[in-house]
Amino acid sequence: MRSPTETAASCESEPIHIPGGIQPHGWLIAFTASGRVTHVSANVSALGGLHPGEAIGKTLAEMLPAEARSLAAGSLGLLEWARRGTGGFVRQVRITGQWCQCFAHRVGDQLILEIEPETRPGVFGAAGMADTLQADVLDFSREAEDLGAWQDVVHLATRTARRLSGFDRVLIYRFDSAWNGCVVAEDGNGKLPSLLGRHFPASDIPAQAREMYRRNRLRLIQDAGYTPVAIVPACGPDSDSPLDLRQAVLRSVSPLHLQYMRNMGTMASMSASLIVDGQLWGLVAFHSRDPHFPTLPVRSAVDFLAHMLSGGIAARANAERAQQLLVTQAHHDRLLAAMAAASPPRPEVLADEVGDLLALTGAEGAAIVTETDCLSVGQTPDEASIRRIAAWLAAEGYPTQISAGVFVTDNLAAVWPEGARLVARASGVLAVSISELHPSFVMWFRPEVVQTLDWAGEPEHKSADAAGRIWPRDSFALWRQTVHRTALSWAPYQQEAARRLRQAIVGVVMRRAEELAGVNRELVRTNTELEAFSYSISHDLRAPFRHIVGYAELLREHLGTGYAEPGRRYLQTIVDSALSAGQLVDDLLAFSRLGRTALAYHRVNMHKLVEETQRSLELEAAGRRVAWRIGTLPPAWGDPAMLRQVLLNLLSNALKYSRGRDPAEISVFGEVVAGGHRYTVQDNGAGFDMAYAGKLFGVFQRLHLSEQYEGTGIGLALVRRIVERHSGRVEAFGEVGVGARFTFVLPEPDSRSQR
Amino acid sequence: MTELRPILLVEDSPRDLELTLEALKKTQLANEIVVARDGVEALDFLYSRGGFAGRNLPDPAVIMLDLKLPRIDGLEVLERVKNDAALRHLPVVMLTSSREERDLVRSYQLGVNAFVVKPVSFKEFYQAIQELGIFWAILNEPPPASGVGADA
Repeated sequence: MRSPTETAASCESEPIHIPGGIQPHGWLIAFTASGRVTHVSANVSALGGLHPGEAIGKTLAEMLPAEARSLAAGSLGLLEWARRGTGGFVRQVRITGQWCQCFAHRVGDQLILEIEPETRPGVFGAAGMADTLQADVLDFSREAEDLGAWQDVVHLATRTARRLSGFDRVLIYRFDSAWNGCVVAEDGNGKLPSLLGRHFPASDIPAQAREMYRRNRLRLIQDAGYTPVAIVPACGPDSDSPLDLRQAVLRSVSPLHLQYMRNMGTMASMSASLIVDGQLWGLVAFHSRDPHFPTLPVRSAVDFLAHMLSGGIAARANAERAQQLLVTQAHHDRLLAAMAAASPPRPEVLADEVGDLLALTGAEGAAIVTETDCLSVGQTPDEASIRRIAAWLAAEGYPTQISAGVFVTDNLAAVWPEGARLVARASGVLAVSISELHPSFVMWFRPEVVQTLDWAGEPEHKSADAAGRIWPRDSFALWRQTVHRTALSWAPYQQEAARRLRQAIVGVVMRRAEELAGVNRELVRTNTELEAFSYSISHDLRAPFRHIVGYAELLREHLGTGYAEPGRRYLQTIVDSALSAGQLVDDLLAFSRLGRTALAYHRVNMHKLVEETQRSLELEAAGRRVAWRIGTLPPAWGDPAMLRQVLLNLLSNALKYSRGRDPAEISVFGEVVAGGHRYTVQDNGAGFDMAYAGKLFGVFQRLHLSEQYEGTGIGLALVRRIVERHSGRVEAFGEVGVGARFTFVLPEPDSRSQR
Repeated sequence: MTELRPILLVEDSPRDLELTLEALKKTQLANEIVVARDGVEALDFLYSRGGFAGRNLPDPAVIMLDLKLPRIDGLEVLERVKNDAALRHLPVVMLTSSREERDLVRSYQLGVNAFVVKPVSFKEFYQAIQELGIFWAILNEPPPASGVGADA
């Protein structure tokens, strides 16, 4: 869609608040707090006989005709009065036989006095007229109370407004978010064509005009055929800028606007602003084919009606917003509950809550893109495209185009050309970032909705005069535009819902991170306690065992040979028990130390390590026939000291449990397997029942009586702990009376970072 | 040097003390054994103060120092000895129940001469004490008395 806002750009720069003139049906005098006149309208001589040049610098009293001097006498009081408010009707005075209405308002340190004579009989309103008008407005107010939707209220308002104003046609014109206008209600007598449903480009009412409308609520042009009257002097007296006439009742509109009116075939127009929550919501626009002179009470009534209508619209908008928030909150709560219930809480689970996720923003599809996942629900582009959108958002879209934490577009292709091929599912995109660290987003999608816009005339059509000056378009005939690639707009409350969901997600995830940090602190504390505990065990538990052994030995020496069995055996048992208890303490400490020692990874020659370990066991194997078969072993990636422990335990086990064999056969070999290197230690010893294989690696788990095979029951637990700390796995196979086979796999560092 | 240097044994546990003394007795060393029951007493002996004021014995041939001691512990005694130019040449052997790695590391950082984990087995314990006694009290040749401590 081509933007109509580019049209008539010359209008945007026109300084309309300082048109330098007034409409000709009245006089304007500006003066300072000291009562000195600074500006007058060029037609001022008709008022008091002084020419404009003579009037400047005089006091108000000096330049006004005798019968209007009372105004001057109260000029300081007027100034004081104007200071309190925005100004308005002051009083009615009689000047040169004519009744005149006086209006005053303040601009800076100046007071602007406007005097409008009753040039046409009845313009000031007949007796009782104000009461009738007031009754009309009150009727409107009462009837409107029964109407629920603002659409109905504005229709009612057009009927009331036309009846009390006498204009040929009354429109209610509403601005959209891009300040294009649309006629949402109309009432007319048929003299002027209907414009109901027509759109007007934002350039028709440029930004500076909208700002003026926000401050000055009622404007009137009685006869578009007028010739403006200049203000004298054009600038000054103390500054280079012309007098600010934004709030002047008689303000002359720009020539462009007069041309616009003539092009529309309306010679009189009036407009009242509809202000909702401080923003210009729309206008009540009055038009007549011929010049029209609404009376003063009519103007007041229209002002009052517009004011009441604004309030009515605001109340309904607030109620609607409250209802939307209520519904949105319910979706939000359910989504959040689902996420918090997951352990750990993660945004991916939102994809399971399809209904709530889509209803939250009124989307047709949604996607959750995280560092690892891309989950989509409803009508969405394919995964690759979603990831492309996410990548673009992360790199460009999100940083440059978010407002209040939300990326929002009705026309993705307009901001990202690649989006053109996704219009069927993702013309509209609403996205929020949910991670500070990774490009992670929750996105909602809306499909293209081909819309037909009825413009009041082709919005980009301009005509230029001979001097090249651009004039407003001269045709307001229906001009139908088909809008492609655009989705229905995301409503502000839907954008807000997305933003709130983002906050909640980030909050939950952050809280989770804090909880983890808390757990971590607790672990560190527990670990410190455990270390202190094992330290004191190593000191204090070992010492008594040493003392038992020592004193038992001393006792044996003391007794010499002069004592017999069973005393000798008792003493030996005391020594053996204390020794094995001491060994147990040492083994347990070694086991617990394993958990805290950092692994020092090296390339380990396993063949050499096996041979060294075998040699260290020679003493244990003394006097036995042991057939060692050591095959080829691939090098391992691990901590050499710990791997030595593994081999020592497995080899000494093999030696121990093959005690009854002659010869004992012990094989050690290795091979390359998927995921790493596998090492095997196999013996032909006592073996074990596979039913108990799972118990083999537990601390203190034994499958044999200790008088058969000595040991503390920690060796294999140690083996498993070491292998698992290397991210490997250990397995045991056995058969009673046949033998046992232990294997462990150590992963190779290929997939991880190679040192 | 004519005078036989004593062995300074610093040990708080009466049982360990008795067992160690038994072990040393078996070694049949001629050296006198001086016993200190905590770090304070050990330092008193080394600085000839407190109960050891005006001692007539020379500096010890070796200090056998338990790690965990009341008042001033073994590591601190070690630190003070090794930081004092007049004492740092004295051999210090840590005797401890603990296999704790950080104690080992700390001891070597402070300049210990040997670190011995007391074996549970009395036979091994006896052998260890005997070897320590023979090595430090008999075999080891201390630096000459003159000039010691000047190389600070």
